[in-house]
Amino acid sequence: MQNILEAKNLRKYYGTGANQVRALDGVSLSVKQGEFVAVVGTSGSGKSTLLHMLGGLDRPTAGKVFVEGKDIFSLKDDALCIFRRRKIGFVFQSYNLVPVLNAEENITLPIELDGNRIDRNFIREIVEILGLEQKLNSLPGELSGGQQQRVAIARALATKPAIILADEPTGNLDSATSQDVLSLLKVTGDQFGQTIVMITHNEEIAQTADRIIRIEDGRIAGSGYKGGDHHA
Amino acid sequence: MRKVKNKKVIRKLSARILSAKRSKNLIGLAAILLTTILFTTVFSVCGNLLRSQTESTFRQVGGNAQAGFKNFTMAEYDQLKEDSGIRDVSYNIFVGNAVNPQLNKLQTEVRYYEPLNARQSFAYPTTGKLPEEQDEIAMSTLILDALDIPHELGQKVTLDLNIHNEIRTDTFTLCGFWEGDPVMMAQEAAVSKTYADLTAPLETTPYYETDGTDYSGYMNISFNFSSSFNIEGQMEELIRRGGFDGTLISPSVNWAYSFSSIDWTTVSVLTILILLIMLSGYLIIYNIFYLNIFSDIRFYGLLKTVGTTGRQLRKIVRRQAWALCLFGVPAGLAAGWVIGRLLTPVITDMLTSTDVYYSANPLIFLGSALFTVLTVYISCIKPCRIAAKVSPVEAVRFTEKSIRKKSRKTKKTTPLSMARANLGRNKRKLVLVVLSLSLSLVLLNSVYTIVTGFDMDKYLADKLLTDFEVSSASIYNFNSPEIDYAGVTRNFQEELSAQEGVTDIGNIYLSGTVHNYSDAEWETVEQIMDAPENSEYFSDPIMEEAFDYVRTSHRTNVDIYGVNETAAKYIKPDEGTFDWEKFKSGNYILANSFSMDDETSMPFLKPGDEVTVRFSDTVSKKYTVLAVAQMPTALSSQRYGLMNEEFILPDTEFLTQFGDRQPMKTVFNVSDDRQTAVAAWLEDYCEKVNPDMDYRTKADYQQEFSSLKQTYAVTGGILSIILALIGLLNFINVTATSILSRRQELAMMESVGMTGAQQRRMLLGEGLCYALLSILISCTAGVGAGYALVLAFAGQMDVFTWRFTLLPVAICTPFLIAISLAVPSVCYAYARKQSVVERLRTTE
Amino acid sequence: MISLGSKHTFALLNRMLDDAAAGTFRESDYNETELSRLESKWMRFLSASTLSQANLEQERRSIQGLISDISHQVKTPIANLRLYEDILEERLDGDDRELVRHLIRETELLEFLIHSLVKISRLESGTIQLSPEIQPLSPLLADAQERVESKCIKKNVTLDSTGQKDNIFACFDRKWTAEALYNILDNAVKYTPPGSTVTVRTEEYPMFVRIRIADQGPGVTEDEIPHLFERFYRSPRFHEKEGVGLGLYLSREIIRKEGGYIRVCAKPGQSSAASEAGHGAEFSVYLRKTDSPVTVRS
Repeated sequence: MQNILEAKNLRKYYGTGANQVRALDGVSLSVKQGEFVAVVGTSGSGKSTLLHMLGGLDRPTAGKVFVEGKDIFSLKDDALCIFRRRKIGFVFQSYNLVPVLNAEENITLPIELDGNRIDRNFIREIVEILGLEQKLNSLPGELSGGQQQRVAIARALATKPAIILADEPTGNLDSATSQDVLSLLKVTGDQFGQTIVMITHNEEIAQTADRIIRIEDGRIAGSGYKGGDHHA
Repeated sequence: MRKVKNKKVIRKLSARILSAKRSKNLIGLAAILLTTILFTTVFSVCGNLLRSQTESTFRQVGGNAQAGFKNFTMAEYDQLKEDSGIRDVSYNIFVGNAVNPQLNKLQTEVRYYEPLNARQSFAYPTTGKLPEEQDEIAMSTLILDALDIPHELGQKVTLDLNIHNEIRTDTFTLCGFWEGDPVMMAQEAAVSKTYADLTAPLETTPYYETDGTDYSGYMNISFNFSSSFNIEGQMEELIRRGGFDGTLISPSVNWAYSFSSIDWTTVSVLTILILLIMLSGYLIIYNIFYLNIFSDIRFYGLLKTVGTTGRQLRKIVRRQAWALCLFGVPAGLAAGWVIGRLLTPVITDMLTSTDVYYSANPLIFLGSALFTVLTVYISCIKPCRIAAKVSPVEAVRFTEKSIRKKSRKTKKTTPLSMARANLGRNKRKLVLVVLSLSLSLVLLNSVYTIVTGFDMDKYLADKLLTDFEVSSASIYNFNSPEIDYAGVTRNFQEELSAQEGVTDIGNIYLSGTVHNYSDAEWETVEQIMDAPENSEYFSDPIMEEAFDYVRTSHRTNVDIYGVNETAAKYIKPDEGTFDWEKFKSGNYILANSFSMDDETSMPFLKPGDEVTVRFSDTVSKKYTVLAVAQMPTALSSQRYGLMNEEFILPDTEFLTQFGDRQPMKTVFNVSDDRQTAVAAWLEDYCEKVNPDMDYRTKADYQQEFSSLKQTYAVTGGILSIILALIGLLNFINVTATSILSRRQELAMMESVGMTGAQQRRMLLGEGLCYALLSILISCTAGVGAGYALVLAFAGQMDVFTWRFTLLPVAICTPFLIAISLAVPSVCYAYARKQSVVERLRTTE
Repeated sequence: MISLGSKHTFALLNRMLDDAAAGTFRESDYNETELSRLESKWMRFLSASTLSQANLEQERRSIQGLISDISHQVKTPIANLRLYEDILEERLDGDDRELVRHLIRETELLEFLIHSLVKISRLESGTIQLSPEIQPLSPLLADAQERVESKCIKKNVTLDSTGQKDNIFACFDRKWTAEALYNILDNAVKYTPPGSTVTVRTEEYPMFVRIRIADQGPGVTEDEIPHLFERFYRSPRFHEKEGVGLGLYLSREIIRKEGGYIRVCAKPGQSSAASEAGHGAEFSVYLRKTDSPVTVRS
């Protein structure tokens, strides 16, 4: 199976000279289609920066990222935006739902931005799996944290993206809700054959994934593969 | 390539965002509303003024047709009426003048009117109809009033008519009448065709072949062209096409249609006004949008994460702006038009003493809507760009855009020093607010300067030098057929001297004569005539023949004034000294200079020159020029000879040479306690005792003057209020937004240990800085700007003297400071409603 | 058809693709237009394409049919083998008997393998449908525990199920889920040292129910976790243990089909990197509490 995601030698430096911060210092990894990968690291390890790179939210100082074989940083800003809209689904720690749209509209927003016809059946399926049938017309302000995150997951799934990138998806949730959200992430990833890359600092949460990658000080430390090669 | 169909969701997002932040929108809405109001007011006032002016010109001209010919024959008319360039044409036939004694002050013409011509000439009956029978007549109510006939149909009207220079008296039955317009040069009465044919049958000889003294039986034609563009040009074409000789027939183009009445000063004033409004509108609206973008930046970053492109974000921002326009502009148009209606009478009073007409020309609304929308569009450009360029990572982490300073020396941190530092964070915002506040202050100051700069003395200088002045009524009445230059009767003079409290009686006599230039004189005169700065005057084609005559004959008409000692006091010589003792001997004379404007003047004679004045065919006398001076405008006759040359003699000498005659004008002062009494006596005298005389008082002019002042005060005042409001709104918006968007930061500081009181002090300090900076700028650069502004508006006026004042700024200062402290106070109180922890969370 | 504007064309093309993705594309008409030609080409492509869902389905079914047939055929020879082995066992003694016993064991293994294969193939081919229902959890656990009880006793392993709450409901197919749970329990018992405890806990979350099965065996390393549930996977550390490596795979498939999932980790409070030392492994089975539309896309 092809690697659906590949990062080659990513570097992100801030500032120059003695004050230079090396958020990423030569990170390479690859993810197969359908995998659920967790990137684990302490705060400041560079995992958030890595996620931003993988999703094209930020440009690296050096290095490349290939999604479905396409070098995403060769794209201009607007093109990258559209690419992101179609190929990448995000789930953030702070849910980041559009406050002025209700749950259903939030879910279909990326599709509508693309001007596509909404596959109502598919959306209904996602919504049912995530248990959101009753909450479709509610505004984010009326939803609990867990519900908001579920909406975020639904939104990420709705465009059938190549990858879903989750940044501490359970960071703002209590432990019970966290379990649920994680489980749903895993289950839906399974059901729809979705590739998921999740970053977290929490070991327990990381265990939900099929594979764990550790990151420390901007570099990959150890990997889930035998052989101890630092290529993850 | 076809674009993807995503309009709907963009529309939805814009709409939702808009409805979500109601209160913020109100401010933006208010700004757009105000800008629209300003534009609309300005435009509608202008439109109204234009309309009023056009209408009043129509009335002065006597008709609203575009052009016409006077004294045509039917043959000429037939030639004309088939022309293709003409849309409609009609005629009236001049029958004669009504010369009833009651009508000697009211020029009355009698004509037969075609219905269309009657309408165009404002001679169509509002009650009754145009005459059909021989004994029917319709006329203006002013004529009826003068004849003491009630305004009733069926009344008998007897008129003495001068037709073909013969008088005949006929009695008519009134069949119709209309409201007479005192502005018109002549009042009209309409008779039937039958009567006209009977008394003044149509002439067949072209008018220009007659001696030009008898108009009866000739037609006046008025017509409109198919297009109202370049009427003069079309006229020339028409004349050419019709085979007429332009010099023989009398073409006239209704100068109400010519746009020469719009002078460049008005245009430039208008342009400045428009630009000013656009600038202030832009400042406000731009500021509001700019700030709002920043408060929404996280939201836009979030949208970017989800996949909204920069271009789509731009559209969303713009759509919100257009939505606000949708509400603000129509309301502003309506409000502005109402205000325009209210303001116009005030302004009309000042500019022209005409009646007020209102215009609802769609151009007004279109124009202001367009300009407002343009302003909004321009204000949007930068904010749109910011929204489009937002990095999606902004959604994840956000701080207010801070200018990255290189480094900072450690200083003691107090709330005030933090305040100063905070101001430097966003220089652009600072500049914007301070600028708009200063602008309103400067404007207010300018208005005040203009209004207080009105100098009554200057105003009066060329109108009235004393408390009262008296002369023949014909001098004050433009419409009088004949002007009496010696109208102050003996009887009056006697009664005047008898009045208590009357002082400084000055008498001015006027006569004229033909003056032959000596060779020496001619040298000077020739220089004057050939001088390039006077060329405009001397190359006027209408006067060409007359000037040629002067050159060939060395001869022209001059005015000669006679003044008594009191009157002489008002004469200020340009050259030489004016010594009354010497003067009254009768061997001396004053001569004037030729000047087209106040700048250059070239004296006809110099002090010490000798000049011979011819009083009659037989009598001449040589005088020595004592000084170069002219009659002050307020005392002069306001008639101008060909060369504008005049001489002044002492009254004794004048009367000796010209024989005993009455003064043209008598001026005098009255002691304060007798002012009202004398005014009353004067009024009575001129109304009952001798209606041929009329008078003017200082009080009349004072009233005119104060209304002029008032107009400027009101207009300027309103403008400054609006601008002040705008500046204030801006300030409130900036302060509120800045505090609210720093909620998180403030909470963080509070959690670190900065007390509420300290924060308050910091925020208040920021507000105060804004106020102080604005005041500072107003007092420095603002003075210069204000000076320029004032000069542009009022510098041209003779009545205006510039006096430096900063009083308005001083008065506003405490208010400004109070507001600059109150607003942050309120905003901070509001921001503090939530607990520290709540505010630390990054939710909106 | 009349010639179409580009807007119309794009709409049509979009619809064609959507239908193709859903597997419902049909040609609309046969005529001389460009569109019709396109449609036919598209149809041809879909039919011939190996991505076509129908084709994939067919292939899978044929493979599974093959497996099913083979396993079915294999039953008879195996039964015969057992028969003769039993007879031999009775007749022989001593070393020979021991040898036969080896044979029997291998045959049993074979039998087990075939049964598992059949189950899996039926499961995957959809021959067997799971029918999840919302029901109490306790009977399910009781079922699984019962089956493993004898092995526990034999190995002196304590089954600690005190951490179970009553009144927990979840959505599952009882028979199959019991089988899945049994496999995991069986695994736990197999690897946990004699005399140790295997704990079974249940936890309830708003949308899921979690069944935790922890043993005190050698545990799993981080490297092994991704491979644990693969078919025929045997950890390189434990060659000598019996088993084919299908149990966990089967369990995962069953749970997946019900809309849940299985997770393995070290005991809470420890990173799996530390599990080298043998502090045991914990398997968590997550079941949904409500019904879900289950369509597994492979």
